[in-house]
Amino acid sequence: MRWLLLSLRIVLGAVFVYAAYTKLSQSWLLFAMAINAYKVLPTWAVEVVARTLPWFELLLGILLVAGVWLRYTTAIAAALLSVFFVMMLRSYGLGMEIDCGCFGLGEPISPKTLTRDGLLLAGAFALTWFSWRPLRRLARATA
Amino acid sequence: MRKFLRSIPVLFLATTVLLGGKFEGVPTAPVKIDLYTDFQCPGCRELHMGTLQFIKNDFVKTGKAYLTYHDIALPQHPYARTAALYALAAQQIGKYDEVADILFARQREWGNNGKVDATIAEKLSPADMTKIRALIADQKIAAQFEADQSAALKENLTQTPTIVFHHKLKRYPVTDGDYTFMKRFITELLTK
Repeated sequence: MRWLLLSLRIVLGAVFVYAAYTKLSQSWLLFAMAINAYKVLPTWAVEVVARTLPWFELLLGILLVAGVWLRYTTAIAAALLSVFFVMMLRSYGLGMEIDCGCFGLGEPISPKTLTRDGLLLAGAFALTWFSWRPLRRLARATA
Repeated sequence: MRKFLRSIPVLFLATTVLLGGKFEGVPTAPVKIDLYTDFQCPGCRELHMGTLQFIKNDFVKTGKAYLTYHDIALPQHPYARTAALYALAAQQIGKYDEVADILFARQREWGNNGKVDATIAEKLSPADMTKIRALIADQKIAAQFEADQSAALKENLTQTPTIVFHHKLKRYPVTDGDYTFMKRFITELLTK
């Protein structure tokens, strides 16, 4: 089980680092256009997210791989992936023919991208659950 | 001689703009834009009525970008192919812009009843309509349409509108039809 969780954490961290790399290796304006296509944020917020999110993903990915502050990093990763997943589901449900913006350019939202993000989300939730487990055990023992 | 050479792009620009064809701008412009649209797609309508006009005014007419239209038909749009064939035929007689304008403006109407011909006939003269109908009967128009469909397939394109920017051998496909960030992106490409 321990090895499975370790692999999952490294894979999730690597995915975040890769996602950050694909965005940072090109103009932030392209990512801004991908976010803007979702039509959920005002222009100023799109700009803030487009400029900061890739760096945040990079930091989160590195921390996940390194195994630092795991309770918080796994919870943040799960929260972030939940937001992405809900946004993608909403756009797909509304029939919006847009790019997912997950890993650079030219990847439309499709059942394939939804499944992939759903699996990542499930993995992040599993990691969060197991990283908080020792604390829950301790709380039960001291109650 | 130099003066003549310098005037070539201007002549190109004037010709393409005047002809109202499927290409607009100076072919030697630093940024190339491939626009993939489907006449029945609502996002393409928005793009055509708004952003496209801004792109034309700010970058195409100023010689900074060269625009190519690709009219494709997605499987979920039953009349898009017919509309694209009419637009292609209209291009042959220099009436592409007029036909594209009316098709997008009244998209909901003909998209429901399939009356593409009647919709265009309200905008063009009977003489032009006769020419267009004759051109559609010609297989060349269908072949041109298939070429655009193939170009879309080659780009791995499954959604419309898709705008593919080309600059210095790099390609950037974008699906957001909003002009806010697009203008800044094209400007950024031009400064590279």
